[in-house]
Parts: sequence; structure tokens; C-alpha cells
Amino acid sequence: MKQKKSITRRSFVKGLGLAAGSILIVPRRVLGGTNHTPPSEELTRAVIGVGGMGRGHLGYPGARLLAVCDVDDNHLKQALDIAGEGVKGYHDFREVLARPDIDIVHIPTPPHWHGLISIAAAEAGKDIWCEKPMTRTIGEGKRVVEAVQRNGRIFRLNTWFRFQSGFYGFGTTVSPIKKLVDSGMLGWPLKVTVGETTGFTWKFHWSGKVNQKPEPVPKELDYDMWLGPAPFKPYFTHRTHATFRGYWDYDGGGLGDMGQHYLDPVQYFLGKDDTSPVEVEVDAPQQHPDAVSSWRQIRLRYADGCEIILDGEGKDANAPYIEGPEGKLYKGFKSDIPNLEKKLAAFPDPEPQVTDFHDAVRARRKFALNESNGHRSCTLVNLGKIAVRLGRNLRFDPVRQRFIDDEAANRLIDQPMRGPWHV
Amino acid sequence: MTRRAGATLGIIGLALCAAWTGMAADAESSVADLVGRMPAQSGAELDAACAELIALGAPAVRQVCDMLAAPGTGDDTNPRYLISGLAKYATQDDRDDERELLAGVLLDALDAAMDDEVKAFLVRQLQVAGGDESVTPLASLLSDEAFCDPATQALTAIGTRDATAALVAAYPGAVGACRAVLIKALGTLECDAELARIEQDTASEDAEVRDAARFALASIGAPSSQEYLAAAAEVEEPYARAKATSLYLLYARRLAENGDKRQAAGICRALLDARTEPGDVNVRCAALAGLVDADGRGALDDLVAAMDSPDKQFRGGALELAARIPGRGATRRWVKKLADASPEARQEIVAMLGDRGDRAALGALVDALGDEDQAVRLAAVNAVTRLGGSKAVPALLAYAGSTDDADELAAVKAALLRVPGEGAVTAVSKALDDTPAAGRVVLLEVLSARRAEAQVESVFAQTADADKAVRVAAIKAMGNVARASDVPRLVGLVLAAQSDAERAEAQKVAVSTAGQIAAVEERAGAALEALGNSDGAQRAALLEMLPGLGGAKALAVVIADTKSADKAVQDAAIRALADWPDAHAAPELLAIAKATEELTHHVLALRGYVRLAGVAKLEPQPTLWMYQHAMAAAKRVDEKKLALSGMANVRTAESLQVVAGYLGDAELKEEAASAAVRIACPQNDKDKGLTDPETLAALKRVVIATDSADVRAQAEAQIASVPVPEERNLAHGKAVKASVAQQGDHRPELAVDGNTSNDSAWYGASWPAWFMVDLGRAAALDSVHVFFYSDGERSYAYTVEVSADAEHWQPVADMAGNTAAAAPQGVLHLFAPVTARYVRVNIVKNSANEAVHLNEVKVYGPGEVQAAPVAAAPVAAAPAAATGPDGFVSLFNGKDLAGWEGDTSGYVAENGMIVCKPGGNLYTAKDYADFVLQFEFQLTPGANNGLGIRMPPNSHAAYEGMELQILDDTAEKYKDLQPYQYHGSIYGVVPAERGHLKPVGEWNSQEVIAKGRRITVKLNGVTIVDADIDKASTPATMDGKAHPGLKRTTGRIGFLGHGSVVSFRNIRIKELD
Repeated sequence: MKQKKSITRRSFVKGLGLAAGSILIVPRRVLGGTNHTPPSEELTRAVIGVGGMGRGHLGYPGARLLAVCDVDDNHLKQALDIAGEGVKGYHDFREVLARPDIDIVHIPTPPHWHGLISIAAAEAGKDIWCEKPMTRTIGEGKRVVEAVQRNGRIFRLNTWFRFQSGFYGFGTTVSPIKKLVDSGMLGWPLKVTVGETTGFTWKFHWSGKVNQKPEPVPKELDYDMWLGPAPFKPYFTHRTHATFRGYWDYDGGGLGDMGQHYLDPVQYFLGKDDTSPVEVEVDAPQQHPDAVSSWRQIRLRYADGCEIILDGEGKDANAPYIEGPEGKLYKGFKSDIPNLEKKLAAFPDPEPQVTDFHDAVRARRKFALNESNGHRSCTLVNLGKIAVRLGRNLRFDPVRQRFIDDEAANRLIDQPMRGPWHV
Repeated sequence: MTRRAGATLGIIGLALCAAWTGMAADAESSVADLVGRMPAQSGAELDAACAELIALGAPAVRQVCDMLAAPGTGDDTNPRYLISGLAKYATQDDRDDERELLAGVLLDALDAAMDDEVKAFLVRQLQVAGGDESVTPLASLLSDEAFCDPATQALTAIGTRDATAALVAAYPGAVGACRAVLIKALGTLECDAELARIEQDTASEDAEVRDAARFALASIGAPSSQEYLAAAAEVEEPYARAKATSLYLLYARRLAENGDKRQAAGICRALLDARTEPGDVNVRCAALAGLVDADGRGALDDLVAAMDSPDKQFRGGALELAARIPGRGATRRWVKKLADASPEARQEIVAMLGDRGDRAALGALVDALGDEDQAVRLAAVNAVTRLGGSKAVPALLAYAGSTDDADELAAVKAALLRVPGEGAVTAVSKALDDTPAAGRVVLLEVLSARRAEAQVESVFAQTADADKAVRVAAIKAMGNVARASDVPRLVGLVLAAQSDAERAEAQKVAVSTAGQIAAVEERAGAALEALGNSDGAQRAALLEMLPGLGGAKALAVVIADTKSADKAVQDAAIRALADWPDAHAAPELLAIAKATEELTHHVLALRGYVRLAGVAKLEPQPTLWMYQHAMAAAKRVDEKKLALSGMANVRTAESLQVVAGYLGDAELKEEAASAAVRIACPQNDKDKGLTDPETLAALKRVVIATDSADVRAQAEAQIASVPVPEERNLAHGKAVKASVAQQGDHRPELAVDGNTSNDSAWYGASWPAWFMVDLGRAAALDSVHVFFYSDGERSYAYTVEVSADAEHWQPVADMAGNTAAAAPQGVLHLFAPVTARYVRVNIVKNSANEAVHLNEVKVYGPGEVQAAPVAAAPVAAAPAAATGPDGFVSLFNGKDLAGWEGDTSGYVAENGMIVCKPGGNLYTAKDYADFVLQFEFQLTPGANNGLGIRMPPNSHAAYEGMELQILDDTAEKYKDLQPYQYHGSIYGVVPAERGHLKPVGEWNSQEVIAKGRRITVKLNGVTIVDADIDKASTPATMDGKAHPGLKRTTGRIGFLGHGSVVSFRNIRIKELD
């Protein structure tokens, strides 16, 4: 690991005093103790990766921003301008994690960094607010779950439909859908169709470009660090910032971008938070080895027969969102079951969830969408990605989290990292 | 489908072809054909292509590899598709021969390849498809600095014994980064073959090698490695310390997995003892986890003991691990701990036991409902419900009877709503009589939410309770449990109501329940029967329900009562009539509006009438008549404006003429102008708007009458969209003169030749410059259409003047500040008719270069279609973005979101409006400190938005700036708002006066004055907020929250979307010094 200079704890605190002016925020964690009333109950945070997604994180309320970090000097400069006084800029996330006065790190980097930084943050005693998709590989996801749990950390993934906000075309939160599924009125097993006709767009514009001429790396960008664990490939503009989702090395197109938004709530209402599908079927054009393109359909099937159909074509305009042997649910919470709302009232409400991340951090209660269910819903995305990349159907063991009888697919579960990086 | 069929035919055809001409001769063209078929459109197509290629043999595959090109030197997209496709094809089961063939070719190609990127590509394919045959060739790359890394990754992925052995063999001789990478790989593969060497490498001078060595030792977990890892965990620098400690703990975990449990436990206990700083709590958590790995059940004491820690994070870590020690005995141990744990720890243990799912804890959790600490009790409510399900109901009901604390009752309510089964509902119903009032309210809410129709009698009985809160709750609950047959007794509740609140609830419930009656005419039956023998206040209360019930008989009763001698009854009847759901009430409303002498009745009736004109869905002509009747009957400006805004939706030429008739009325001209452009101008892409001559004449009057730059721009654009016959162009072919020399053969005459294209233009050598047309004789003029050279980017700044004598000039258009790009359709400038002979265009700037390029100048007179002249018209029409005569600047150009930032995809500019469709925060690109802001907005039912002022970009404006609420606070769902949430309020800080919004769907006008610490909000002319924000937030804000944004003196102005559709228009600002 390359570190520009080593920082002792003492010189560190001195440096911080300069950076933050005369106010030294003492995080609750440092003071500890239940009977302690610290001078500030305020939580503190840093944002690592302040380009497109990250800039949005700068304004999130609820904790005081102390540090921002980016491998692009322009991003960093812009973020510092937005963040204002008392916020320090860093180039290397490890220097941010070394700061003892930061409680929470946000990780809105491109996905190929999510796992690495999440694990390092957990091991440095930070709580974590990570962008979706949670990790680029299933293997990294498993390691994040372990690191977060063993270190007693609170983790939230940055999607929210399982606990708040109108759920796409349904005119309601996902809660009544969960209640309906739990009621058994639709029967079992269920088939869920996620596509244009049921209100979900797969955003195939997140496609990569092929046959690009190498370009000089802009002077503000540390390309080696931007790539980090990813294989080295010659730089061209479209590969990085704002368009990286089109490349398998960093994400997986619209499926990577929107997959967890769309699929995490499905996993929640199907009650599959602690398991994964056993089969993946794919219908897609061949994928370029580097650049992501579109697909027609991905079918994820659980052991009990429940299915999630990712519909990339939107052919069936009348497809129900959820179809069970005894009833169907459509966009706009419409159903073929008469008087649905009234009937539903008699059934029990879903379990409550912890929906404020900073409350979760203070109370040390698992956040609604955490490392554990977040890893499982990210696995839905990653299973889809692997099947699309290989262009073939797969069988999966949800307990061992390995593919059955497919060595090439398993090589995409734990992908070796470049250079010194490892998880 | 057709593609696939085509491919299949292709394969057959190819096979036939190969058989016919002989394989070898056609191999080359086949390879080219296969490459050309990439990318395959399906898995089947790819498999077919790969099978064909493999059938052609290794040389053919090699031929594809040889098509790979260094990036930027040629298009090898399809060969890359085909080779990576082969790697996928060959790694499917039972294709090991194909896979070996492919690997062999890839290795040969790798050996021959010259370009590093091409080599790396081939190595990556081996990472997918390589096996033992690839190990030796890949190993030969390990000594190459450029390929050590990708080759190591490929060998790690291959991961066989041979691959591991190759990595082991390369390690001793490797240096620098390559050495580190190899050590890391041995760690990943958990290979202990070179353990001693790796242990020595923890003392390497190379930091990367040291780190990799520690990672490898930790992953391998050999007993001998402890000292090398323990020392590193003691360094000072925080990140290095955290990293090394995590590896030390990983090491302990591997030891435990390998059976060295005592050693593992020792490491964990030592860390637990040593790392006592609060900042090390995650290390102690991880050490506890390690103890559970090593000791299993033996670590239970450690977990339980952790609950005595004052550190909440440590307790949280211990409880996270509790699930890893299952069983009834462990559950009992946790239950026992409740006896001597602190309240906070008790709360945490109770929650954990609820999650744990062992019913052995249920008794203890029920006991915890009686804990002395409220937080413990609240946790117990959830835990008991989670664990007990329907078994928890008796305990929850007993608890509901024992408390009147709002938080606890809310928790019980939520819990009862989560319990499954009809039995729970019955139990709740049975418990009503034995539960004190506060609890009973909650139980009634549960029955209501669960729509317990079977419990309707128990619920109804509570409507007569002695406690008012119980009565109200019971009446509300009736709304969810009553059936159509209950309507008469619900009407009875209206008459028997003991308070306004109860009456209002009973009315609502009676109306909604009557909605279950299929025949509309019968819904009012019970209410009409009661009306038969009631008078005074009771009669009024019954009348209020009739609009919701409807029907001819009910309408007749209402109409009759509008003439009642009892004032209260008459008022109620007129209100009911004004609220009537269909157009049958319209004639009577108009009659009342005309005849009544009471202003309130007039306003009520007229507003009701105008509303019905909008909802009646009549043909345009009768709809217009209704609005005209309303105009004629209206006594106040407000109602006239309302009628005008209604006419705006009748988009006919006749309606336009009616509306334009009010342009001369100073009080109504803006509303009329706004209605006129809404009628005449396109409202979407397919709409062309109105283009007849009368319309254009009316729009000219709009341009001259209006003070709104947006309205003016829309009207001008519509006029300009209609081509005018060239013979009416007074400038065509007339004498011209220019102040600067022409460029090339671009003579000044080309700017009056009737041709507006870039090719036929006057090019002047420099700016500033003027261009003058002599019309030959004085004529009445009312517009000049100017066309500059357009390339989508450049802009020209200019003014237009007219003169009778070429000496005294009168300005008619001022575009001196223009930065908008010149467009092929030019810019039409309209002005009040003036008599002149000369027209001059003064060009003050061209944004692109030093020359000027004027395509065309067209000049028009008012013509025969010019309608009656308009009084008091401004001389010149100012361009949209310039400062108006009153000092206001438009913040919205009417066309797009130029000048706005934030969620520009969540809002759309259409029809001269900014529409939140819905989106999030949209704010100005510029900061504004002190200002007067005027805008109009249109709400949808229940809509919620906000106006952010002095807000930072990307922020939560209500706290980091100020949010002036924009809200349909008349919506039912907002009936329980805090005053500081009403429309116009400074959210959380200063309440607004409620009740001045126009009915939903109509346009409201709002003015916001921010001057220093004083904020004033005027809605539809009424001041609803006028406050000093310092005083208002001292000593605390109304909502008790921190509003640091109040201290800001400047910032963006924004619309803050909260998920509903809201439209804005005519957004103007005047900055104050």
C-alpha cells in the first residue's frame, strides 16, 4: 500500500484542529458510554467518491460532513466548494478511514470500489452508507456481510423502496404489496414481472462503447487509483465518469444501475431476504467482453417456485406485476380480486422497519436495508449479470453461494483483484 | 424469431456449401463469414457459430486471433466478440475437447502477439476458459513485469494444484510489485508451501510485500505465524493499525477453522483486554466474534458479560452474535440477564429476544411489558408481538388497559395491527368495555383499520359513550365497519351529535356509507326522511350532506331551502348548492348570483357556477356561454378573473375574442392576456394553436396590453409562426443603406429580397453597425421581423428604431442585451402602430466574430385585420429575458429550463409553464439575497411542493435554507396539519394564514418579499405571512428543530417537489438593493 506519509495519531489531531477551525467535533463513539452526555450528539461523516452520485450525498442531512475524497481533482475541488467550511479534501480513501473523528463513511464510488472500501471502513470502525449496487461480485458481497457483522457496524444500502417512497407505478409504498403477498390472497408461488409494462425501465442507454481509441489520461484524474482492483485497460473518456456503468469491469449497465432499486423490494415482499434463486435463465444477445449492452429477458427462479422475470422488451402490455395461482396485482395497485383494499384490511400489517439511518447508528439497530438483505438483493443483480455475460442458463446453490457445475460462472463470483488490492 | 430461423438456414446452407466445394477451400471465407455474424443475437446463435468455427479447426480459430488489433489501430470488435464467445461456449459442460483446443490456440496467439493490450486480452480469455494446459505458458509470463499481474490473476482463477504450484515456483525469484502480487495469490489460494518465506517477507523493506505477506499468513492460518501478525497490529498509524488488526483477527478465525481453537481464543481474549479505547470498539466486537468461532457455546458468558459494558456499540456487537449460539439454554441465560442489566441493556436484550424466535422467552417478554422503564416496555410490545403472534393478544390488551401514554398506546395499536387472525379482532372487540377511555380509542382505531364489519354493533355502542374522544373514534370507525343498512342510524348520529367535531365526522361517515347504495337516487333517502321533520341547525347539518349524496329529490330540497327564512338554513342550502356535484344546480346558482343582495351568497353561488362550467363537460359553445353569464353576473374582480381563467380552457376563436375584449380593463388585462395565449398558443407538440387572422389580431393586442414577458413571448411566437404573404412586406425590394462595408458579394439589398436564408444575407465588415430601409413613403407600421445568420450558437445584440425623417428616431425594439441564439424563424417585434418611413436595425454585437450578418428585415403595417386600437400601450415590446419597465426580470423563458439547475428531468417546461411532473428540487442557477418574487401556481388535489429561498444547491431547503410551503392544505389528508405547515408558511418557523388558496385547479398568484430578516408572503393579494425570522426563531422555532438556514442571507430560489404535480408560470423577480 502506498501512503504518501505516515500520520501519527498526535500529529493527526493537530492537523484536524487546523482544518476544522477552533471547533473539534467529538464523535459519540469516541466518548462512548451510556451515561455520558457528549457535548455534541452530532454524528460525523465523510463522502468517498464525489462525482455524479457522490455530489448528491454531500447534501444528505442528519450528520455533519467533515471530509470528502476523490481520485479526480476536479471532482474534489467542486465538492469542497459545495461542502463549504470545515470540510477537508482527500485523494486516498485510506487517509479518510484513518481519521478517528469520523463516524460514518458514504461510498458513492463506482461499484468496483464498493466492496473494498466497505470492508476497509468496517475494519476501521466506521458505519457505512453505500451506494447501489452493493458490490460488483457475489464474493465481495459475502465479505462485506462478514466484515460489517463481525465488526459490529451499521450498514445501509442507498436504495429505499422497501421502506419508503412511492414504489414506481404503484401509487403506494411497497408496504401494502408486502401485506398482500403475506396475506396469501394471491396464492403461492408467485411470479413477479419487472419491466416496462409493469412500470420499470431497464435503462439500456447505460451501454458501453467498443473499439475506442486510447486517449491521454486527463491530468486531474488518477486513473490507476480510479481502476483500483479492476484490470488495467487503456483509458478513454467514456470508460470512466458518468458512463462507467456501460463496462463490465465496473458495473453492469441498467441492471447494475436500477436492479437493486427494482429487485430489493421484490425480495422483501417475497420473503427471500436470507436466500437466493436456484436457477437463472437468460435470453440476450451476445455481450461484448468489455462493454455492456442490452438483454431481452432474465428469469430468476427460487427453490419454492417463485419467479422474478426481468423483462427487457416490455412486449406484454397486459402483464400483471405479480401473478399467483389465486390472483394478480397490476400497476397502480389494481387487482383482479374484487374489493382488494377492504379485504386486505383484515390481514396483519408487515413488521416495522428501522427507516432512519442515523437513528439506526445511534440505537445500534439493523437498518431496514442492511448488509445482509442488501447482499441478497445485490446477488439477484449479480446472478443476472453473470448469466447475461456468459449468455447461458445457470444453477445456483443459495447456501454455498456458488454455481452448480459451471466453473466459468464460478470464476465470476470471486474475481481476483489487480495489484495490491484484496478483500 | 425470424433472425433465429435465418441463422438456422444459414448454418444449413453453410454446411451444404462446405460439403459441395470441400472444406479446406472455403475455410477462409467461412471464418470471415463467422466473424461477420458477430455479435450473435442469442445464445443459440452463438453456440452455432462457435461450433462451426471449432469444426473448421485450430487454424481457423487462430485466424480469428490474428485479427486482434492494438486499440486505435483497426476495428477488431467482431473478432473480440467471437473469441470471448468461444471462451463462453467452450466452458459449458462436456466441451472439454473444444476448451483445450481453444486454450491451445489462445496460448499460441499469446506467444505471437506483439501488443500489450492484445496480450492482456488473451490472458483474460484464459482466465475464463483456461485449465491445467494453460498453466506453464501463463507461468512463463510471471517473470514479465507487465504481465505478472494479469497472469497471476488468471492462474488464481484457474486455481488448480498445478496453477498453485506454478505460483509457488515463481515466488522466490520474484521482486517488487510482482512479489507482492504472488504472495497475495498464495494467500487467496490458502497455500502454505512457502510459509517460512512469507513469514520472512513480513519484514520486507517493500510495504506492499509486507502487507501482502500479512494477508497471506492470515488467510493461511498456520500456528507459527502469530508473532508476525501480532506485532503489526500494534503500529501507531490508525489505518495501518486497523488493517493489521483485522488481519490478525482473520488469522485467529482461520486458526479456529483449522482446529487451533485455543490459540485463536487466546488472540481474541488478548485483544478484548488490550483494546479498551472507545475507538477500538469494532476490534472488541470482532474479537468476540472470534471467540464464538473458537469457543462456540463457551463464548456465551462473554456475550452476556458484554451487556454490562457502558459502550452501546459493544453491546450491539455482542447481541449481533447471540443468534450464533442457538438453543433454549442460551435463551434462558439471556432471560436471566434481564434481572441485573441496565435499562438500556434490558431494552436491547428484549429486542434481541423478539428477533431470536425462541418462544421460551415469551413469558419474560410479557413480564417486560411491566418494566419500570418505558423504553423497555416499548421494546417489549414489539418483541412480544413478533414472538407470540396471536398468543400475544391478551397481554397486549391488558397493556392497553393499563396505560394512557400516547406513545405506548400507539405502539400497542401498531402491534395489534400486525397480529394475524380473526380471533385477534374478536378479542379486541370484547375488550372494549373493560378498557379505559384512552385505550378504548386505540382499540376502536384497530377495529376500524381492520375493517371489522362483524364488530359493527360493539363499535356503534361506543358512539354513545360518555367520553367524547371515544365517541369521535367510534363514529370514525363506523366509516370502515358500517354497511348500507346502517345509513339511517348514521344520519341519526348526525342529529344526535354533541359537538361540531362529532357532527362533521358523522356527516362524513353517513355520506361515505351511503355510497355503498348502488342506486344514486336512493342514497339521500335516509337524510331526506330526517329532513322531513327537522329545522334550524339540525336541518342545516342535514343539508350539508346532500351534495355528497346527490339525486334529483335532494337537489329539489336544497333549492327550496335556498329561499328559507331561517338564515342558517338558507346559508347551508346555498353552500350545498354551490358544492353540488353536477350541472343540474347551475341555473339556480346563476339565478342566486344575480338576484341576491348578500355578497357572501353571491360569491358562493358564482364560484359554484364557474366550477360547474368547468366540470360539466359541455360542448365549447355552451361552456363559453356559462362563463360569459358568470362574467356578466360577477360583482367583484376576483370572480371575473375566475371566469376568465375558465374561458382559457375553451380553446375556440370565439372564446379568444371574448377574452380579448377584457384586455382594455386594467384590472383584468393580465388574466385576459394569459387566458388568450392559453387559448391561442400550442399546448403540446401536436397542437398548432389558432392561426386565423382574427386570432392574430387579438394576439397583437395581447402583446401590447400585457406586462408579462412570458405571455408576450408566447403571443409573439404564435404570430410569427404564421407566414405573412410577401406582398405585405413593406420593406421588400426597397432602398437600403448600411454603415459599414460589405463583405464579398453580400450586398445590403440581400437583406430585403424576401429570402430569409443564411445564403442570401447582407454581411457587414464590423460591428457596431446599422442597416436602414427606406420604405419610400410614410406608412403605419406595427411590426418588424428581423432574421440574423443562424448556426444554433451565435447571438446578435441589436435595437430597432423607426423614423419619419431619418433624423429623429423612435425605438420600437430593444435587444441590446440579447444572448439568445439567432434562429432561422427570426424574431418578430410588435409595437403599437406608429407612422414612419425609415426602419433601422442597429447591431451592437455578434457573439461569433467581428462581422455582422443580416439575413432579412421585414416590415409590416397593421393591415385590414387590425382590431380596435388598445389604449395605453407601451411603445416597444421588450424581449423575454430583459428587465421589464417595472424592474422585474423573468426567471423562466417559457420554453425550457435554461437558468435552472437541480432535478431538471423532474420538471418540464411546457405551454409557458414549469410543471413538476413530479420531480425533486429545481432551483435557479443564480443566488438571490433580497428580492420581490412573483409567480403563479396551479395545484392538483392534495399537491405538495415548496418554494425554497436562500437555499444552498443540493440541500434540504426547509432546514438549510427556508422553505415556503406550497400545499393544497384543503385536502382531507392534510386536515391535521400544524399551522406552520399551512400553505405559505415558512416551514417549521412561521405559520401562514390559511384559507386564501383558490379552489384546486385554478391559478393562484403569490408574491414573496425577502428583505433582510423580514419575509412577507402575499397569496392572491392577501398577506398571509409577514414576519421577522430572527424574532420568529427566538428562543426556538415552532417545530423545535434547528433551522440553520434562517441565518443565510442569500441563496438559490427553488421549487421543492414532494411527489405531486404542480405547475408554475409567470415567474418574475426584482432584486432589492
